[in-house]
Amino acid sequence: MTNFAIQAYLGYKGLYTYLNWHAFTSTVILRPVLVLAMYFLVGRFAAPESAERYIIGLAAYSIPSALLQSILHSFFFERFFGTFPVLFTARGSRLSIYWSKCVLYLPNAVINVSLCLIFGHLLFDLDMSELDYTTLVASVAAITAASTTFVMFVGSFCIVTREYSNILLGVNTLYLALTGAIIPTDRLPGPLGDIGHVLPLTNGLVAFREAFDGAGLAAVADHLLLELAVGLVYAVLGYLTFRLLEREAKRRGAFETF
Amino acid sequence: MDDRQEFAIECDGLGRVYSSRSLLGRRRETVALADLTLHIPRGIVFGLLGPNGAGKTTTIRILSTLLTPTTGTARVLGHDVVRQAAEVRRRIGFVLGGDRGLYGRLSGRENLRYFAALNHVSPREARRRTDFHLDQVGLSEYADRKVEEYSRGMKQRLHIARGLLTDPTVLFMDEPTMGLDPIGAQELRKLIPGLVEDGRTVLLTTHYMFEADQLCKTIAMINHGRLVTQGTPTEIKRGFRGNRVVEVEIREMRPGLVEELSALEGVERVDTDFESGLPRLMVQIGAGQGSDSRIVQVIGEDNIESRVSRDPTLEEAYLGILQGG
Repeated sequence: MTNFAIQAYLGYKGLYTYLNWHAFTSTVILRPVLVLAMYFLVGRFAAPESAERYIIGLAAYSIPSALLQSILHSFFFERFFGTFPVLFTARGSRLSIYWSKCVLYLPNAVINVSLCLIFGHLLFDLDMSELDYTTLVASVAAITAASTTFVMFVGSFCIVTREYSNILLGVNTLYLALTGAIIPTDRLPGPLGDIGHVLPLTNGLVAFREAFDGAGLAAVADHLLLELAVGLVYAVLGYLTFRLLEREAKRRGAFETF
Repeated sequence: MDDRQEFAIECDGLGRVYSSRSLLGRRRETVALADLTLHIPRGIVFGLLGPNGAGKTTTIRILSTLLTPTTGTARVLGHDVVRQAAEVRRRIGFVLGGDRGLYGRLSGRENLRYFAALNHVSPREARRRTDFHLDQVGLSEYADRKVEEYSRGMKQRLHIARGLLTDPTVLFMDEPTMGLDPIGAQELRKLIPGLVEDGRTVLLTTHYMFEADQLCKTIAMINHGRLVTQGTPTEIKRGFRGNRVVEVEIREMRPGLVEELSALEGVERVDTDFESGLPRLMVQIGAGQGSDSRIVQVIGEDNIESRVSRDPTLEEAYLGILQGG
């Protein structure tokens, strides 16, 4: 194994405290399905004709949601275990440390969205008759990539703050409110819809939804490229933020506060 | 640059102030380190002593690039800890004290493998070094057990193995024997002198004076973030204003005896020890002052089992210096 692979594997094993059957089943398998069920029932009560829209939106939302939970959790546990000093006195490249912190969480996101779609179909009659699988897979890949870079960007703030739960809550709210997962972006008041377009998921979700109407890859390519472009911006911004906040943490003495 | 450096560590006017705000927005400043100047030669064990909050850990955090100083400069092997932090990190290792700083869900071996990967040690070399250092600190038998199941002493030994894993030229050890049982602590103390034989420099903080006396070639005492005194353990003991200690083993401790002795001219402090058989009184006398005969008179000759006059121990010198004795 290369050093990057060792870092990714052992970092995941050391920090992902849900890595036992108990916790994994409840957080990665049951939780997204329960969230889906709750929003579906509320949505059906409010506007029965929109119920399917909620299922698709929330299935896509389960991707960033899973990444947020697990990546922020791993940053939080670095602080909890007091291992930030170990990371930040390491001789290795920061780029490698940064990216190794997220790669093994990507499967959780894919498991989440898959379960949501399966349960959405089995329990809530999600219509998959016209589904274009290629577009679906490409959309999931683009949303996963873009959401990962965004979550790493916001996760970097955990270097200087203990309040990871506030970050989690804030970003979850942004996702649910502004990306079109529940509320269509064109119905958002004022500039909120524009904010949604610079968040990951918003553009990818358009392609994801169109996959259920049978749209081919070519028809949604512009949405997918936009999603990837947003992800790329956060990849660069996230790494720069990580380096900047490392400096800030040294200035404040924030690595070891708990 | 490294080989030409006379000093492994140079701190000039080093200071660190922590700022925070209260709920009402009032700004609070805490001085952790103030104008510390230290020049630590290569190849020695250097002890940094002081009470809790004196600035020892802050100094180590700054030198290991984890904290930015607010004033002054610090260099490790000639490299500035702020401007050349990456160069500094290539040359240092550090051993934390206490339970934190390890991944409890990983085994001891995995912790070391992870740390080796973070430090770009090749996987093959990492395996070799991991086995070697686990053996060196006596953890081979427990290498594959999760660290959350380790005792505090085992975690401390794992910290030490990790500190050595990258073969650093300068090693910072922040209270490395804290939490170790006496045998474990003694084994570690045997290990430390060997670390400097190949030119490595060790900066050690400890609360155990006998440990500093035994291991350190030079000691600096700091208090309230400032350097109080510096020298070899012998220099500090003798140079503690030329004080000496009259140690008296007595048959019976009568009420008010300590106060009577303390009131004698030239007596700077009186310590008692009731733990080893008969009560003992350690009467510290200032340079060229007081006489043993006055002490004998106050205690009563018939009450004295034995009496010796000696130099202060490092602990007595430490207490005297830091308490202004």
